[in-house]
Amino acid sequence: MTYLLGIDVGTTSIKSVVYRPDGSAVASSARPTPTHVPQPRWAYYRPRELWQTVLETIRGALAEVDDPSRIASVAVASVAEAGVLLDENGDPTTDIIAWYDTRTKPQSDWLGETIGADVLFERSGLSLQPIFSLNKILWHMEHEPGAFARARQWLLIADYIAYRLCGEGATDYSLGSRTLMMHLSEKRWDDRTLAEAGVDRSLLPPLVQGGTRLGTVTGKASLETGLPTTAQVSAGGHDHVCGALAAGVMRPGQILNSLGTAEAVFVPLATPLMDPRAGRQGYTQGALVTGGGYYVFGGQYTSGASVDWLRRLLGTDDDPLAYDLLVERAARAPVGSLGAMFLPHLRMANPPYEDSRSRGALIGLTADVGNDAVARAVLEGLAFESFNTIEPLLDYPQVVPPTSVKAIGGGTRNDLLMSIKASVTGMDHHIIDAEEATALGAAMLGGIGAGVYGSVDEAVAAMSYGQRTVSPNPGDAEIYGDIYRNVYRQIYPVIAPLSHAIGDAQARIAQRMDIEPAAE
Amino acid sequence: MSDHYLGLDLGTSSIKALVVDDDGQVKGTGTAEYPTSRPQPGWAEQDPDDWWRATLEAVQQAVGWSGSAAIASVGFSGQMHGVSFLGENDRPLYPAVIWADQRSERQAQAVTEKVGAERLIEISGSPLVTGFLAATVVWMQEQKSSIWWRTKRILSPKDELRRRLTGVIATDPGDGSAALLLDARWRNWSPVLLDAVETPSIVLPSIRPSAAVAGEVSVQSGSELGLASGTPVATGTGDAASGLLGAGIVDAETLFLSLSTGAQVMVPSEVFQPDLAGRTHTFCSALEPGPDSPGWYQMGATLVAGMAMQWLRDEVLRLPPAGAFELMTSWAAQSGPGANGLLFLPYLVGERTPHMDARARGAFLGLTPQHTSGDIVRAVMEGVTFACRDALAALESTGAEPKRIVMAGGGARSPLWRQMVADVFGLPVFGLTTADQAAIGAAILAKASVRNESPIDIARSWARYDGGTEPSTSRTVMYQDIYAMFKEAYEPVARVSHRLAAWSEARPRPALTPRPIRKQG
Repeated sequence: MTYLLGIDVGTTSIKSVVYRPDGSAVASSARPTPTHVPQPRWAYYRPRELWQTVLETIRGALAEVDDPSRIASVAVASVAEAGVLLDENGDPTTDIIAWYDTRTKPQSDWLGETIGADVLFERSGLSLQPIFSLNKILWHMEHEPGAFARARQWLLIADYIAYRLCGEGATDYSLGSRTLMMHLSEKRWDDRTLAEAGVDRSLLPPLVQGGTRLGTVTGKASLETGLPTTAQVSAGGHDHVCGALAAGVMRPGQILNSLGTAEAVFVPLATPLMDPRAGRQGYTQGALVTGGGYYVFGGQYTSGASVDWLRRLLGTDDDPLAYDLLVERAARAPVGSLGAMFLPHLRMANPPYEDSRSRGALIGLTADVGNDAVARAVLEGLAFESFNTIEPLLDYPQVVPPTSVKAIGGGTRNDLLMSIKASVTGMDHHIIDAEEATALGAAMLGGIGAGVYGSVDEAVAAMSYGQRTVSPNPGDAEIYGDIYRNVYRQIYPVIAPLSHAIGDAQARIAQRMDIEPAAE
Repeated sequence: MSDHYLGLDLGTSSIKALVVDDDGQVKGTGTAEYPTSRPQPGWAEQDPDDWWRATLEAVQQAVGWSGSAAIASVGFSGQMHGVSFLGENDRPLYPAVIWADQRSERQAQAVTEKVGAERLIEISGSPLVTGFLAATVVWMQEQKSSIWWRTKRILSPKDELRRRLTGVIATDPGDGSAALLLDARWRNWSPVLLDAVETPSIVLPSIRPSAAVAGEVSVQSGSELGLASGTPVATGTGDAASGLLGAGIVDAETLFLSLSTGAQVMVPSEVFQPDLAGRTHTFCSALEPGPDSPGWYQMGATLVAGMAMQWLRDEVLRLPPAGAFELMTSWAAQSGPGANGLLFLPYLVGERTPHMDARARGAFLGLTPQHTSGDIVRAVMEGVTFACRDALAALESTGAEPKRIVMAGGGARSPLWRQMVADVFGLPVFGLTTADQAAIGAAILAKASVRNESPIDIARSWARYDGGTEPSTSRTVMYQDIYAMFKEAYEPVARVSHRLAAWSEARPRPALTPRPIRKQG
């Protein structure tokens, strides 16, 4: 039997998973992503450490495989936006600024002044933010001129790993669409943007479709990893876009809800959104890994994190309340949680609100609202919030209203949450039980490039993972509809100014405490 | 052997009897309970015969404990606002309807409309709410006219008890104003209010100063109680005014903050200046008005205080009750002023002063993933403290300018909470160490009635406090900042809360499920 290797370089961990062609996992290995945090809001990776960690996970996975020579293909999915500059020998000249690092705000401001946010949106489909790759390149140019001068190529993380495996560098459309340098609807590097920003076009690798064959594993990489030199390496893509592929979400009219520490809704589009309002609402878009389409994406930044926070609160930091127990308690509270409601903005607001200073709130508390109702209120708040992110998208002409939702990720194991979500949205939720969907999507792209599958549709059809459906409860749906329309949507606009004031006051107090510690 | 005084406090569920010596030392205590019957939802009645039986038990205990000290005089404190109805020969016609009774809501509104809300407060010092004597009397006229026609006397609870002890019928300005039939400025029954409730002044007792002798222990009750007949009995006052006296709060510059299930803020006042918006109550104190003798006190009520901590302990964190508050406050001490940016609105059962909003609800605002149980507990303590500060703000609008705080109740036992109160109010806090201050107040009135000494001097020399807690200037500045935010939060959050209240009130209540699981440590 043929095996496919999918690699997933994520924010918190790096995974290598070996799959059979039907998508079932044979072996896997994971390591924490080695991250350096020199100061608040900064974070970087060292390219060699990243590569070493990938090597360890590949070797770890292969150690569990009966015959590594059966591995026919490799592809890499990674976080987007972050990349590395390489010199003429292909050696890194810089560290990798993490995707979420915001040190690049001055560069982003400069681009806004020089080119203009609306112009950039028109070209790239992206609403200008510091995280996009072009800002990172400009930062290296300004702060590390020597390293920049020696650089001959810029590769995103997935591209860099593929490059170390096969010696060829290329960027796929899904990762390219997150650089601010790709013209989204024409899927080419945007020469005007590059010229106006002063970045040499020759730094950028070819743009290809995910699943394009790049080469075979080099002898050196084979020695380092244990992969056979016969294994074909193909272009992978952006992690959550690969996850969507694994779930078979590629066409307009579909919607994917992925539930992890963060949560996201992912809606495929035939053509990009043209209204810059989408960016101001906090949505973002990009190209699919394959098939020529696009997607719009709305993140919920503290979804699983809200549940984990509550577990720590109701248990202790060292011994959080068991997940099952939390769900069991939530299930005891009635629909609507006795009027308690949770706004899950523990770190910031979620689309359609672009507000990094928003905070969480638990309101509607009465003496009757106990542990059970608080637990349920948190789950209901997550479901309302997710629906609140989906609903405004339906106003855009490019969005085809979905009739059901596909769901992946650890959060889908929470049956109560899934049934609340089904009732809140009024849509069936098809829960896909794929093992490590991101790595699987990468493995599928590798399989396509190596000819294991004849086409994308064939790859999706080959998947044997389980799927179950959770349907709305009509009675609950009516109650949730009422609460959502009449209460939930009022919460953020009312609470936001208070959240801002609290944040400001906290900063003033912190400042004061620095000057004059107020110990009791 | 020095003289001893007997202070009796007829509370809502039990009577307390204290034998106190001339220096304010408690030499004997006794207590006994009585039931409240609830014949219909919202009704609350007590049988004055039960009061009397409990009095016998409590007095015998207290006197027995004190080694049968000679009692020089007796004083009274009692639950306010309630009423007992007496017929021919002072026979009770109906159970006493106590302050917690909700039957008279419609009558209270009708009387308020008849007199005019502001005018009613201008005369009586307070808004008329359900359970107050004036409203209950109108209910009786409308619903039980056969009883009302036979009624010869209406008496406040402690006055009924004193009648049984002495045979004398009287009341004091404090309970008169709590009945809401007094012209509280002039300390006389108000013709306007009596007219409004269609009650002839003949059914009302005469008004005597709290610290005056109202009568003597009768032969029969003396033998029942084991007291010498002829022992002088002071008029006494309502339990709030008596508590102020027992806590030594006899000047307009000291705020009394009682943090129990709910919180009360009270401050004596030398002028009668009620809050026409009805957010606070102004009642007559146990003192006769004069220079340096505040004849009134203003009172605001925060509905949720210790209740929020209890809710957190039992409902949210589910801690085993033993030692839980100490554990929780030790967590809170790890957090800092402002609870790391977490704000709690404590309106779990609505709020009285200053918002008068039964449909307000509680909220945690500013949540981040970093917030710990310690931040939660601290935010709850701070939220309750801000709500008390809000109640003071309502008192300040009618002239209160306290310079120090005396704190009592469960919350006063926590050093962290005392410090927090000092910091939030920006005033020194003295924890009251005198227990049973209402019964002590009754003993003070007993002593003042038979000695040539003012109740003010006795109260000052008897009250006991801890060493005091000074506010920290830096934390006071921080808390001013956070308190401003707390005040700002009420209105917008209430808008959403009212929608939630409307929504959840329209739904049937679920049956309570057992909750066996408790968090450890």
